[in-house]
Amino acid sequence: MSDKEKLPELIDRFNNGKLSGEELSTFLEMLKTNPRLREEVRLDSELNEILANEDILELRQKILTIQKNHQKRNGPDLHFFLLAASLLLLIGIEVLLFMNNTHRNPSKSTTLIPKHQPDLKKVPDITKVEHPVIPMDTVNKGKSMIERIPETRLASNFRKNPSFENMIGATRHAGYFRMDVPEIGYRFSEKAVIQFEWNLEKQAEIELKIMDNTGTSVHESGSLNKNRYSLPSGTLKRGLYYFKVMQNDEIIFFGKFMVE
Amino acid sequence: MNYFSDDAILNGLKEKRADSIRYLYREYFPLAKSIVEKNSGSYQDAEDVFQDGIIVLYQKILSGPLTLNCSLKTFFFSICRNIWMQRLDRKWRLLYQDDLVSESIEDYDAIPIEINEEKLEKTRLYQLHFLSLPADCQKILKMFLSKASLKEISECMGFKNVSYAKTRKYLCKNMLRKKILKDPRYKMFLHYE
Repeated sequence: MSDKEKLPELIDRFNNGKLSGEELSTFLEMLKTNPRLREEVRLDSELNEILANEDILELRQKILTIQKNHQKRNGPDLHFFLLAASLLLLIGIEVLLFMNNTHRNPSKSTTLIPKHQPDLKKVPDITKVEHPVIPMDTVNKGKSMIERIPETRLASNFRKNPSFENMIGATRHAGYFRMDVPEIGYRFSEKAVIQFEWNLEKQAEIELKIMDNTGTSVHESGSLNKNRYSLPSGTLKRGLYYFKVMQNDEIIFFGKFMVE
Repeated sequence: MNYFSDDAILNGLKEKRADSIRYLYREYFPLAKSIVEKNSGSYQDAEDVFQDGIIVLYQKILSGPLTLNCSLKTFFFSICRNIWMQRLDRKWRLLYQDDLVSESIEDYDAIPIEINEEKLEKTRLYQLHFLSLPADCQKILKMFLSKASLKEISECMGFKNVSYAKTRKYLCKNMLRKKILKDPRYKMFLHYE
């Protein structure tokens, strides 16, 4: 058994009263001095007690199912809107590509079959098709570029900050707050305007603070009473950034984004 | 939808019947929502309070015959109100270290109902994360918690040996542990920070 598994096993045996002798006294000593271990023991014991009550677990599952159905019927279905937005976006891209293609090469853009098609069954001779021939050195260059991408992504400026990663998401507070843009982990292009949008129950002042992955503050918005804020393109270099939304010195949201 | 009398709701909830829970949701959730939203809470808070309210009511039904001096709706309203006010009280105390808490629980405890709000929140949190585990992990942990031996778990799950069952048990428990520790709602229960 690995060392990682040993501690949970010890906690498990301790909570089930199966530790004895020297093993028990050593564990009790550790508990005295290690608050994190005390917390782990407490969590394990509570989990054992709460999850052993299958009756309440079954009731919870039923309430959750009914709650979800209720939300579907009464609340706006976010998935539907996301799907609709994605479809619209795809259609938009398709239309743009089509129009772009039509402008560049009107004769080749049409996909309609001409009335006097010579012989549809005739298989084209692929050796005579005018495909551009890519020289091997270009292919190799392309390959080496593809191989370089993971190295770039693993560079230190994209390394995750474990303490920040644990804080990501909305925190509970008395009022309602929803971060609309950027989504957690969104990748902005280096040339893009970095846009933030949020939804706050009541109009109130908030502040936005951006840190790099080492925790160094790179930008502070000052007091904002709108529901959007943006940074001009080029403000942030390539890298991984974290941001927090503050209200009355309390963090109400913690997120991250990348600039690539 | 049919009308359910108070007794019908209580009997249905005792048997965890979906139609009774659905009725409760339709008729009683707006109550929970109004209590929470009028007292600086969100829709999500209201859903949490409502879930906890049903659990409290269910436990009251199981603990013995429930004699009500008021309608079930009033009783449920009091449960939800108690839960939310205790929750607000706890959050404020955590934020301001008792300085600003002037109101005591008795002030809003019109119908005295014994509620351990902190335990309710923990129970919900742990159960939600447990239910988000893969089905096989849920099964292994349930068997383990019902004191099944590793040999029994191994046979039931079709594992090759007992040692693998032991490893899986720890992996599943660890997955659950990590999910809970990562949840920002759990942070307020930590004692060492």
